[in-house]
Amino acid sequence: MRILEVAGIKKSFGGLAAVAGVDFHIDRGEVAGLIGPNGAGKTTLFNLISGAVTPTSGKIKFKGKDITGLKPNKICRQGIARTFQLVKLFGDMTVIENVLLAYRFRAQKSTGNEAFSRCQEMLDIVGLLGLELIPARELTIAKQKQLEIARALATMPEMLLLDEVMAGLNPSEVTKAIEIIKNIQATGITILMVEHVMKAIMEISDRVIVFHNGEKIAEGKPAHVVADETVIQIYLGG
Amino acid sequence: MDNLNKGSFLKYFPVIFALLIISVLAATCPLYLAPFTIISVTNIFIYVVITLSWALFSGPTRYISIATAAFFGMGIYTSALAGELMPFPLVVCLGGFVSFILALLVGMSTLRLKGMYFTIFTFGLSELIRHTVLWWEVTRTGTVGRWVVSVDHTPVYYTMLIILIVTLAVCYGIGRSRYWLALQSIGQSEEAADHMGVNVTAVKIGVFAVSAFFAGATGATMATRWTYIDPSIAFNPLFSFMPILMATFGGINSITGQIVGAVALTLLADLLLTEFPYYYMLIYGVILVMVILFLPNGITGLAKYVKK
Repeated sequence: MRILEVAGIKKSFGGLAAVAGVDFHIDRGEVAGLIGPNGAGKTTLFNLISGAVTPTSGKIKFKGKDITGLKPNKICRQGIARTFQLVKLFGDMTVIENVLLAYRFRAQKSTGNEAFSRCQEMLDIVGLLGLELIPARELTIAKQKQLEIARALATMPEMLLLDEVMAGLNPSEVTKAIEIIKNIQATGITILMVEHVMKAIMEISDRVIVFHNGEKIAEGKPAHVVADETVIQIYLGG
Repeated sequence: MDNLNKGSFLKYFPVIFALLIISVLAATCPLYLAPFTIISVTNIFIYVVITLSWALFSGPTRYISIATAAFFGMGIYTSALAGELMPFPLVVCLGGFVSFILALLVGMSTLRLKGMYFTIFTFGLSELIRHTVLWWEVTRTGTVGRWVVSVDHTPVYYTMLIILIVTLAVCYGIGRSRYWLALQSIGQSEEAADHMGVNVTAVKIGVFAVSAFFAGATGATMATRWTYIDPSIAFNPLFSFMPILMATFGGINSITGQIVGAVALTLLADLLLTEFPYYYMLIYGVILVMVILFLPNGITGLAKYVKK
């Protein structure tokens, strides 16, 4: 069953088409990887889905509903949460406050006084339990990225957009991040991730979409995609 | 759980007791204090209210507004125009309401501006309103000033006391709600706040308008003590800068800090004005510069530092 359908989506900045009319879909419950060289339009595509930028043309449907052009806060409340490539935490707020904000503005009705413990559960998922009262800006970059994931989870999403959560992490941190994403998928959340760390893409993606110059050039099982001649030429290098 | 409640009651008992004494003193002091003292206390209330209401929006969001004078002045002119038409309490509410509406309109058109641009705009707004009113008075009514229906200092004192209590209650209420997190998150990363489900535009405009309400109501109240007003009195830019200085002086991050700052600077201004009339502004300025340079978290920040 399709949770997200993108049809002919296009975004031009001046004369340059960052995303040049792309069609694809995401199935409920899968982990889809989005790869491609720098400047391929991956982050712009994320911004289009999350509402940060409005498309020049095309349509985005989430759970069958048209969400094209909605404000980010509306899209978030429909059930799509994201992280940012360049971490955008609330730096002076504590770790738990970052998560609490997202939790207390989620779409679902609150059921009593469990906010704090629910947010601790989110921190537990990403392994930040025990750091609740530290200001977010004092965390290491790896932990900041994990906090971004916890904050996105606290909005109670059905779909999670992860924008290069592994970039800048060392190998053992990557292994840990892969574990975290697997656990999130196990809870039934659909994941679309932009990633350059091929180990992660190969290990957790059910399907990979390859972008180049704002267009989709390949799509399929990770093993098939990395064997594709065009993909090797453009992205992976001969 | 029972023990916990009992413990927290005992812990808060001194606070509750102190609050009780303060309320009794505040409610009865016009009975035994000299009129001069009552007027001074009222004056302190004014600055506490405009500091609290300014900091409610500008503190967490870091949208530094210099438009307090515009909202204060709108209240003053409401009082001048409506003072003869309706009872005093209604005039006060109307003054707040007019500023509330003005802030809504201004907010809708300008809160997309960020940082310095927003700040400069709010300053421009105050000046624009001042000159528009001046132009209107000169070309349409033919006189620059207006008389305001006078109200005795005791009812003015009680009105300011009520406005202060309501302001405190609203600041406290918002401070404990999810909107406080939202305001802070807007100050840290507006884009991320938007993506976490916060309707940032609505939160900003709403809280900006609420903070303007209190400035307007205060203006409408105080106009009755001045009896004569003109645009340069009503829209005096000093009322825009004072709340910023007071909040910074006391400690912008807490209600206590804001109150301490407002009370301390009002008293300091009174003292300097009477003791050193010629060097008043000079000394005042030097003290402010020192505090901002050396105590970035205000004097309450210093108190915490000393405690550590």
